Amino acid sequence: MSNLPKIVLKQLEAPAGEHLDADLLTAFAEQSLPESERNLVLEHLSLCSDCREVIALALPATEAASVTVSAHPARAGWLTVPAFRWGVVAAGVLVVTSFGVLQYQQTHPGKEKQLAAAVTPREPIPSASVQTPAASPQTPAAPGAVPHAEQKMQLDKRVEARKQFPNMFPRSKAASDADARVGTNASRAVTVEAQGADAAAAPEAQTTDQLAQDQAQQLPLQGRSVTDLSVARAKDPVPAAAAAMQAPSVALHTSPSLMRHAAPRWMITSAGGLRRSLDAGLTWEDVNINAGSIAGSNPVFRALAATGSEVWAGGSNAVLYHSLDAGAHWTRVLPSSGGAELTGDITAVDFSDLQHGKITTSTPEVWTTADDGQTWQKQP
Amino acid sequence: MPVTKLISAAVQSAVSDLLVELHSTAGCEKIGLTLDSFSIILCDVAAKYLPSSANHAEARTFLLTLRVEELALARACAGGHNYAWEIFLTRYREKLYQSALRIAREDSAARDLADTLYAELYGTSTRDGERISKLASFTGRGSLEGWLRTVLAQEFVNRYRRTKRLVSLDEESEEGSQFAAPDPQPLPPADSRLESATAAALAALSAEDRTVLASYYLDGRTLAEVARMLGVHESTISRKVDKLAKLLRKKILAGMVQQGMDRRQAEEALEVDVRDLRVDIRRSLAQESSSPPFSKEKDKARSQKLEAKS
Repeated sequence: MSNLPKIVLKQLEAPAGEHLDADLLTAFAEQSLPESERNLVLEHLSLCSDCREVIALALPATEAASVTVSAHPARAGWLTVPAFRWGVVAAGVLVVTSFGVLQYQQTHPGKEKQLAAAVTPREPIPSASVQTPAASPQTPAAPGAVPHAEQKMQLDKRVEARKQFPNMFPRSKAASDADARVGTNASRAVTVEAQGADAAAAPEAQTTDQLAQDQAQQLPLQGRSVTDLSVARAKDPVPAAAAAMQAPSVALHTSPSLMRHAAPRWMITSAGGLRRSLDAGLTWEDVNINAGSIAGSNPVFRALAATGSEVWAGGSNAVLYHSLDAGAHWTRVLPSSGGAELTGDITAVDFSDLQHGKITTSTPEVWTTADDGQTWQKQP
Repeated sequence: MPVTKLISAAVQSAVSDLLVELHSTAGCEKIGLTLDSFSIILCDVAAKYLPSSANHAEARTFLLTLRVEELALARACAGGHNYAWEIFLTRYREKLYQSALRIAREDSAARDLADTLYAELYGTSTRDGERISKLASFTGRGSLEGWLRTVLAQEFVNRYRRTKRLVSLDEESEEGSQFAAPDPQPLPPADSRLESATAAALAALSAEDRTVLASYYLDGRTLAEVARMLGVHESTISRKVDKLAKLLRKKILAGMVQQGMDRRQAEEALEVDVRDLRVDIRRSLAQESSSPPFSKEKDKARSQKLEAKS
């Protein structure tokens, strides 16, 4: 929304006269005033912030419809990050590749042993079976380097890239060797794909894994199977790829088991309620933040962020809740600093890791924390 | 509620025309309101809102838009009629508390708010030794339920202001003289041409447009909230806010040019101004509102004080 010159605001803020009586305000809010009186009320309202506040407070309970839009901006953002776009493409190619390898081996059962034998000695592909999504906190170094690496990739200078970032490609050598072997055993088409996939996936392996998982929880995945799939794929491109080359049957099992152990997924319903899925989105359950209190008192949520089992949920009227145990227990948090309190509706909650978070409100205010919400700073 | 206005003949004839009909639709019999007393109530309400020049037809239309049933109930309660209270409580007790909870957003504050209002509805405030129920001021322009919410909200806003004042006083004493130091950077006075151009541009807007701008930019309400306040669709408000902001800018620039500034100068004046917009919003929002509290007595005391001053 465009900004208003401050002089306009100053003049908008002229002092108002005597307040309107409750009857007129009520009739105004209920749209039952004739035009002439409505204009008189508006004339007062344009000058009186108190009466505006009274009208806003006295509105009847929110209809669910008004909140639906708010969760979307977060989602719109993430596919636009180049790294993720590449990650999704890479993951897609990997799935095709592993399927290709699998197919090949099923149709050429005689060569299966040969292939397995060829790859097995190269056991040190540690990421294949063990890598759990939450276990890669070493993200910060990687993202900056990734686009750089990609450019090189696009110029088809993979070798150079590897020389330049040797430590970023812990398994690249092994993998490319594997490529070669697959190439000798499998059809030509598969080889090309495998190489391409490997090239794109390797540098991003660490970032994609961690970030995609974070996103998976942040994004409510509102009925969009595409998002669902791509997140699931992006989640473990490396294990899938590596496993596919090592032994195809493993690849088929890896993904589901990884999914099962992943932290719960979260979404916000159109009515502003929280929902949680413990099985990667197959089933969803409502999460009632203040269970036991009077109906109708549930806060209306608009944004949430989850990192592992830690969940932050923010919503209308400065409502902010925090859970350390994946939603079993909640505490209301009221960010304040130097006498100022967070005001307005919370429109975005971002936590880059467990400690560092940022909250944006409709007011608009930006609050940050560097200690998991113990203290908050209001950004000027 | 004391009525100072004289009741015009037009109002009186309209009331007597409709009295029997309204008296029965309002179910006055059951709650002990006689034709006479109801007639007085209707005349009071009409005199309060209708201009003295209103003719018979206007008065008639006005009376027909009143929520007479709720008006009668509220006034019967104010008069201490037991059965009326029974109806009132079954209908509104639960809703009152729920509304308070939505307004105060916290259980104990909500209870407190609702209890205070109950006390006022029963009539604890005494004037000349008489208990006066707040329900006696209900006029049936809107629904009784909506009125109760509004009254709760007014009380809440009053209170919130009071606590804010208390807190800042505490802070002041804790911080000592440091806190009392004057604002180090008083805003430089705006260019007078900018100021008058702005005033003209704002004055040209309708009251509704100004309300929209104030709600969105000053109060920090969401588009959805502003839309609900005005009873229109959110997208309408969204378009309107954007359009108004652009229009204002254009008009202010044009106004400054008209007063002899050249285009670039005018744009610069406005640019400088926009730069510290955010700071200023916060500053102005933090300022104590100068408008009076909602309760009638205080209003009066205040206006008397103002009169005395002037």
